[in-house]
Amino acid sequence: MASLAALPTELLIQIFNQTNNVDLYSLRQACKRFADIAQICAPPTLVLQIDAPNHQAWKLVRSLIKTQTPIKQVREVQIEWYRRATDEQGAAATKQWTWTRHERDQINRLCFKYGIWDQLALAISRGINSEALLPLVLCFTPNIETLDLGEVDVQLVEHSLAKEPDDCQIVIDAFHTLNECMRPEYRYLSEEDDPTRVPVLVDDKYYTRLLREFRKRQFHDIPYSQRGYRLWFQQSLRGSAWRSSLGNIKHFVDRRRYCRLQAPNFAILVRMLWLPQIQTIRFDNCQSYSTPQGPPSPNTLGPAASDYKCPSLRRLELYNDLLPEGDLLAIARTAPGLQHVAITSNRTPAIDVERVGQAFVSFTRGRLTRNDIYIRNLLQQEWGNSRLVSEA
Amino acid sequence: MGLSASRQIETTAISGHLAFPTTAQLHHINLPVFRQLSTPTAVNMTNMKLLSSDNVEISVEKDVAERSVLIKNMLEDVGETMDAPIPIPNVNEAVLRKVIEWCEHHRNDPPPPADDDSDSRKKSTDIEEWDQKFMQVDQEMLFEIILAANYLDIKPLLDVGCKTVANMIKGKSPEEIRKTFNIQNDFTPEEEDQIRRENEWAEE
Repeated sequence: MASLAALPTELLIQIFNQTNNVDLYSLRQACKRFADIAQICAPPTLVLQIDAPNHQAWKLVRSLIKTQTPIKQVREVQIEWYRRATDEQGAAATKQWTWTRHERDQINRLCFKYGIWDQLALAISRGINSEALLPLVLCFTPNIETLDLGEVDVQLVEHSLAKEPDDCQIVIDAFHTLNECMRPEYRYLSEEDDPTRVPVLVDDKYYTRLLREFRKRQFHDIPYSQRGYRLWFQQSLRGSAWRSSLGNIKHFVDRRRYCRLQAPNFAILVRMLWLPQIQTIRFDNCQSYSTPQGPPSPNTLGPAASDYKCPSLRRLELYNDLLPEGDLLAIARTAPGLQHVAITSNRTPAIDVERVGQAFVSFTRGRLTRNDIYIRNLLQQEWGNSRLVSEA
Repeated sequence: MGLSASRQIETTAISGHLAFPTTAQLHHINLPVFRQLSTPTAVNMTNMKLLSSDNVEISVEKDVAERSVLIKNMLEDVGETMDAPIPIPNVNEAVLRKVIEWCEHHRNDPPPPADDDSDSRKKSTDIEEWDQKFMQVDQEMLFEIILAANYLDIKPLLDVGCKTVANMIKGKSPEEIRKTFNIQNDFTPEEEDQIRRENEWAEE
């Protein structure tokens, strides 16, 4: 009778190679024969489990710094988020990781070698936050083509700042308010200029106090990103040497869940457009600091924004994004090689679906047609006939 | 390799010349002149028989059967006439019919691109919808299909089968894997412990 255990070894190798490092570990524990076969398998998918109770990510990095050998067969890195699966206290529910002294030295040396941002290196060597490990893992995976950041629940990241549940709430409130009042469109535009402006009811002293409170926490609690509310590796995407290991990336996925606290992440999207071989981008709940109708903000598209081109991009999917029209038009201008575009926008005021759609068509010199595009705005107005492939 | 390739071109040239109307068309047209044209040779160009391990003859169109590299090479080696059914000693009737069903659906598939430069994001585990439905069979049949695909050398079918099994493994604990696939735990407690303590990443 045919069964998995009865398959010849070469077929089992082929099957095991379609799984990932985590599954391979389970297979090794299933029976002796599988253990032997798993030993010689090298699946191209590497899963990094952030804050999993079993410390998978830390153990993986431990073996990486021990061998210091690139894992060349890895083509895809996938992030799985575990904090939400733990109890209410979020990150606090996962025990802190400890390195040996020797390992800490090695980590510091590696981080220096690859130009990994200081605070990130600190987080790694203190065993605080396993998401900080991603840049280090990417230093050892020179051949990755797909980077899937998974369903990031940013809110959970903020939870790690607080020790008590009440603190959590304070920090969340603080972030929320800070985030709101620091957005340029709320700062610099009068109500007449921008109908979407939310009237700020609390005086400036309140924000100063919140800011002070927030800073205090940041330094007395655990080291976190300077901005406080960014993911470690996103912060570290800024111009570090390890980015060269991203040179082969063709596919980028970030299915973050919507979170009010979340900082604008258009900058990340733009950095992905800088990757020399990028072909597909899927980014959910993307937002930016750019003003509603104005040009894209210079610090996200960079000084060379006006003539920067990303000809390799073929497919763009932005679901539930909060990008103003200016940013979308800028992307259209940047990516003349697009073959498929899907955008569902939650931005207020609603984007002009026709104008955005036509921009994509004209910048590709008509190679992209209405049939390859789907754009929908907050008012449920639609443009283009393409069927949405997937939607958050 | 070069020899068989040139022979293949030759055969297509001949069949293109001779079997201008397809067999299906020939059956519908009752004109005697066409009947005359449909000599045994012409019919064999498009239709052939396979003999399963349980001695059942299954008629199959030649281009469908040639999804199997094994059969294709066999036909090339033997030459154009193949009146007797080809024995497939490792595959029983039920499995063979299932495999033929797959080959029929995929008869016009283009050859896989040598260079993986497709523009859409292609996940290694993605299986197209029809194949997913096709693979919704009991485990015994699933592994029989995999074995048959391996024996008959139908690489895309083997890929789909392996991916299906890999997807069944994904996210399962060792215990769940044993349960799903009916595997005996043959570790001593000490060995089990040792594996758990070892590094999670198999070093290169």
